[in-house]
Amino acid sequence: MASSSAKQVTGSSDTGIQINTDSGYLIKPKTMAIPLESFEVQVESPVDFASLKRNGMNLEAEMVAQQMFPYFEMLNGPTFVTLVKDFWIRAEVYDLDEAKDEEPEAVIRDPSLKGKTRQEMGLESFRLTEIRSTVMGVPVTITEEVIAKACRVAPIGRFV
Amino acid sequence: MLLKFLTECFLQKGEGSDQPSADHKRVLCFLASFNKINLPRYIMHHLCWAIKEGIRSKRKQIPCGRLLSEIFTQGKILEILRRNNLASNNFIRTRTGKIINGKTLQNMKIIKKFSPDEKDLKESTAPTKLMKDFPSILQERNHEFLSKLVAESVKESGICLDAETSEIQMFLLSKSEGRGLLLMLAQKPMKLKPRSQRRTRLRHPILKIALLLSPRGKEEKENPL
Repeated sequence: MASSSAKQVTGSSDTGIQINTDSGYLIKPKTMAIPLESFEVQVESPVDFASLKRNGMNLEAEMVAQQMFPYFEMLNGPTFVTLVKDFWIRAEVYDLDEAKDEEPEAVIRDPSLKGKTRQEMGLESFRLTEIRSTVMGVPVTITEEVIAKACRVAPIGRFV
Repeated sequence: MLLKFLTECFLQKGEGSDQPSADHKRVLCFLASFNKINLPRYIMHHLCWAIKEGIRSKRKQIPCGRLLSEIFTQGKILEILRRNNLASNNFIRTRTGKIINGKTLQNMKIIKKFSPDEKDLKESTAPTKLMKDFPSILQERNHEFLSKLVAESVKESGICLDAETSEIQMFLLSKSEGRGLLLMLAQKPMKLKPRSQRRTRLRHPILKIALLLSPRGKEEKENPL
């Protein structure tokens, strides 16, 4: 998916933006076959811990252990529904499986690459899982580091 | 209540899925036992799963709408849209999450009557401050190139982010009848003859709303025909 859509590129090697010589710039194609208006954006709920505590439900100790108060503060803000939908309809996951799929595709394009390493094929070595998409045409990449920063939470702790 | 936090604040579920997933069970266990979880990794995992499900089985729910919006803000997407005159400060259809507070406990029948306070948290649409050290999400930084991409995207998708027209557009998108005509009306100022010269009357309520919200409609509202 990621590799197949990123065929012709200008400016950056992984943008997935196709260039059409007749009409100028073309945007990354949609990855989901659902009409834009059918999507339902789920907005996270902020939590008023003081109100909960006053009404007999004190969960502050649990959240202190998780160091999540800055995350809940962030949740009380605007959600741009149209932008989120535009992002989602073109989103794709670039993970280890996708990276591995790039190699046979490169061999199909150029059979002389058979048996060569990823670097020799001209492919970037896989570093980490990314979500790739565009927002109003602007190509974006979201990683775990970006999510951690936006959540105001350190990327440490249990993950099973 | 921890399960409510989990399904409404971290890893939102789709419709009709009453049974918690394996991730939900694990995170719930860690929350209850004061074990710190790697929240960013769980959210990344959940987003990747939801995208793959959207591609594979047409899942319609988009989780983490607020978090994605925050990433767009901090990642300077809004700045690019403003620079290209696609958005003003009060632009784009926005939503806020419903606050979980004492009233929620009453709705869940955990308490009989909740006691409100003037200091209770209010829903906010105020943008957050930009962080200086936020990692870049842009794959391309050439302003001219980005402007061309944005212009092409608007042309291709027809999405309009202006506050007035986007409201009409999204309202009209939710209606199945006469979508093409109504979208056209939402995107273009209406040019109507004075009422006395019209052969037909505007009977359809959607047409009336489009007229009132369009720039031309405002003029007409100020100077009724």
